[in-house]
Amino acid sequence: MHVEGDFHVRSARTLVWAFFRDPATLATCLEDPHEIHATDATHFEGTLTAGVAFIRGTFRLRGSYASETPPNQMQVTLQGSGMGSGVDAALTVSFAEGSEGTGVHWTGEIKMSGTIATVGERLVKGTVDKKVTALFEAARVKLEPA
Amino acid sequence: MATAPLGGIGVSVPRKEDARFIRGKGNYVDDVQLPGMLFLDIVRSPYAYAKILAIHKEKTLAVPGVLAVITGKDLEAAKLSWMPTLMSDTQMVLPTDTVMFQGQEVVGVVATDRYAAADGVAAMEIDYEPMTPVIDPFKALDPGAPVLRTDKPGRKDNHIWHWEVGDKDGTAQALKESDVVIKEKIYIPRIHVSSIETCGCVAQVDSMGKLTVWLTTQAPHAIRTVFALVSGLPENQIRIISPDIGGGFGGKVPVYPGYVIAVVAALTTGHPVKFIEDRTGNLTSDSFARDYHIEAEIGATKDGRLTALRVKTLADHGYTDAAANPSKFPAGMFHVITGSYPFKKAFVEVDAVYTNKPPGGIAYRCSFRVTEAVHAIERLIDILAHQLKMDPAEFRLKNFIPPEAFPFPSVLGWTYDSGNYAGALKKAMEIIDYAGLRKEQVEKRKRGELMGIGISSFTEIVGAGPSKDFDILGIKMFDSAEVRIHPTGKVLARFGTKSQGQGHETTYAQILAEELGIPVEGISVEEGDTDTAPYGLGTYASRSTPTAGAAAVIAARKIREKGAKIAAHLLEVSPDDIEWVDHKFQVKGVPGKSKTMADVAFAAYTNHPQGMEAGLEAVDYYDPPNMTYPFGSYIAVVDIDKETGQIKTRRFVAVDDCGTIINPMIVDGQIHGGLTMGFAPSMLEEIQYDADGNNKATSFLEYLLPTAVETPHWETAKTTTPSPHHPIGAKGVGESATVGAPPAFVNAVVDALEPYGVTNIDIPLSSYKIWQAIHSKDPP
Repeated sequence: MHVEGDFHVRSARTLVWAFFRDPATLATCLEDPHEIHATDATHFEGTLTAGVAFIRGTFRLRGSYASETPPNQMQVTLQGSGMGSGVDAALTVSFAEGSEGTGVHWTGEIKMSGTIATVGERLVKGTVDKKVTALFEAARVKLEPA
Repeated sequence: MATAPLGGIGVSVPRKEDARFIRGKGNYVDDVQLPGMLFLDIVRSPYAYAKILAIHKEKTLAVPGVLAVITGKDLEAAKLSWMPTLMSDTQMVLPTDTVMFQGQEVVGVVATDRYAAADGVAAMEIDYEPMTPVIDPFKALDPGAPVLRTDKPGRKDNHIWHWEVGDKDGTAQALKESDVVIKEKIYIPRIHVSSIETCGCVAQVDSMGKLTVWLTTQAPHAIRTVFALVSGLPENQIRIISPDIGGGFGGKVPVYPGYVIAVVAALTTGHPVKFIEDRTGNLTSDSFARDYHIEAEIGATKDGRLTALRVKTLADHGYTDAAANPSKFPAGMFHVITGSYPFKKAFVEVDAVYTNKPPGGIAYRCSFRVTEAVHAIERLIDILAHQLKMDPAEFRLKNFIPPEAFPFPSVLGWTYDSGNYAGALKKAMEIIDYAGLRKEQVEKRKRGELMGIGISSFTEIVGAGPSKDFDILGIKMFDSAEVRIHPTGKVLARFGTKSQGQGHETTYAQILAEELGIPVEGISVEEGDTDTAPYGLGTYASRSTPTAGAAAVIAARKIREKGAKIAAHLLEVSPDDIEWVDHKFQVKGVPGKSKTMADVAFAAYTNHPQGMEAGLEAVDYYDPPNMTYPFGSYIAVVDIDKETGQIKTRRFVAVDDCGTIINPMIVDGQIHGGLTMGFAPSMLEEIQYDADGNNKATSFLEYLLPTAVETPHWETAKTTTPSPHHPIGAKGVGESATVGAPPAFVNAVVDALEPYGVTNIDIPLSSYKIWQAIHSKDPP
């Protein structure tokens, strides 16, 4: 499943980069109950309680900053499992410096398996799009100067 | 035949079992409650193909109420991590290192209640290393494809078996010499039994070490034998009880991993353990049907005489061949594919392949690949008729095996017992006014409207089987009846079969009423308990009446033989002077001097001849001399909305011939249900997998079944051509309609779309497929 989007924020690129590079900070943008913490310089893990359609429960998450070219681009991978389902995501987030802040663009593929993958694709895609968009929108709001 | 008060053969006796079903008093596995009972739930694989790196039990075991976690490694220690399938392949009970399909059972969680078990499943953490699954059966045969069954030493590919029958060279030559040959690819998709009651069991080990399993099984005796072989327990220490079943349809013939895990849990905890699948577990892991990729060629002379048939098929069996076919015929009875037609040359070959899907290929609606065979031949006949510009009814009538040719030896090795195919088709044509419909179709086509008429003239093969040809895991396919008449003339009859809605408690009682002259209400029928019922192979593939029904007749006639001697004793005549007339023992030529079976039964316990064994009972293990061959002709009439592709079934006439009819009401019920179950895959049902092996239909939100709203009105009629070898001429009818209906629907739809040059559309006939067929071509 392909996800893609962008936003512009009136903050310096280094600040935006740092925000995205800290899993605990980024996790504050999640709407659903969660507990995320770094395990080393490039890895993080935790849990996220979320639901799609009738499938609702706690997913165990493991993620990493797979590659990065600060402060231009980072690749984040995420593996989740739980409720008889698996989620594998690979996202590329790019940060472009502009005259009035930073442009953030994200693109990636999310692969689901197990029970969650059996829910009608249009229903799942709608939910996933909504959640990913909400995450980046929350990040934008937090990064926007007061 | 019987009089109505007796309720014998030919009478529409109300179903005896309905007294409990319509009052909600049925007793199903999930109704079994035992003191101290624990509950099993199962962790399933989210991946279609993956290595298991680690199983973390800690959080699950910390859930309040969770008592035990059972893994493949635990079972491996007891040599129980694998079990045999009914096709002598092997199937994992629980995996030790690799999962082979999405939804596969991975870990069992045992808890004090169902909710704690489910919480334990949710808390389970398993580390997997996903691998690229093999989903496409054709790609599975590619030289570079990953070999899936690495557990089998020396295996170098995913090919399971090749099976062929017929005259390969002769068929090739006959096709070469045919004036017209058409070739078509037909895919019959994977579908699921989806019975309303999912699978389940309750396993209990008593203080003497005897294992009792209440189980949703169609074949309790065979399952007991499998349990004994797998577990090493003595067979006399195992009791399988199959209570009321909420739909079987073939899906409750195999042994599923959950059953074995529940038994292991009961043995290890010392408590009874219940396992009831949820719907998703049922739809993702239990055996599937169909999944046949058929490529067929059929030839004819230019004046419309069939010449030859050649069929090549790829069968997707998932990761193990768990079909319930006879050992001798790994593709079941697919070679009944010559259908109702006297081909002189035919050749059929089937190759089976492993993929990362659940086990497939069970005998589901109907019967050892007969559905696939009938669908293919009846589609090919229609395509060929269109190619020859002949009316499909006329083409069939010209080519049917004639009534005088029976018993008819088919070119692929069967001997059809009896038939009158033209009689059935002509009756259906008359009921539906076929000629009138064709005229209407001409007029509608002039107006650009899409109307189609589809015929299916099917021949089934049921009643396995003659033991010389048919077995399951080496156990011969006979069946049994044990009939006992009590002193007061009431009857207890036990059978090796197991009803799942067919109405055995009524139809078997009717057979015995007819044979014994005892009213049907005085006859009790029991099945499904291996401690009490005689050994039998169970109920599936429309085999109960052809086998156990025949055993009932023979057992009753054995009783009559003894009864005649007792009657002679009571009437003070020689046994040679006794004859069975009007359901009584009568002195030959003296109608007023007779004894009823009740009189004889009382004497059997109170006044039997000196030197004769007391009592009045008999048992018969019936080994049929041949299969039976029910047949019929169905005609569907459809109208199609050009703009939406929506199909409306305007009429559907079904003329069935199942030989002697025991209970007309039950036969009609079987056909109504069967037609609906034929309509379902024709229009709605399909299990699809995405490229990663995810099942895309794991609930009834996605796996669509017709309700009363979608189901057409059925018009039914009968012809009666008794089987010459069955003791009462009956043939079996449970699956006729499921077999005959799909090609009638497809033929009707393709007929409607003839102006667009469409020759085939694979089921299910979704509106989108129809719309594509209409809009992918220029309007005519």
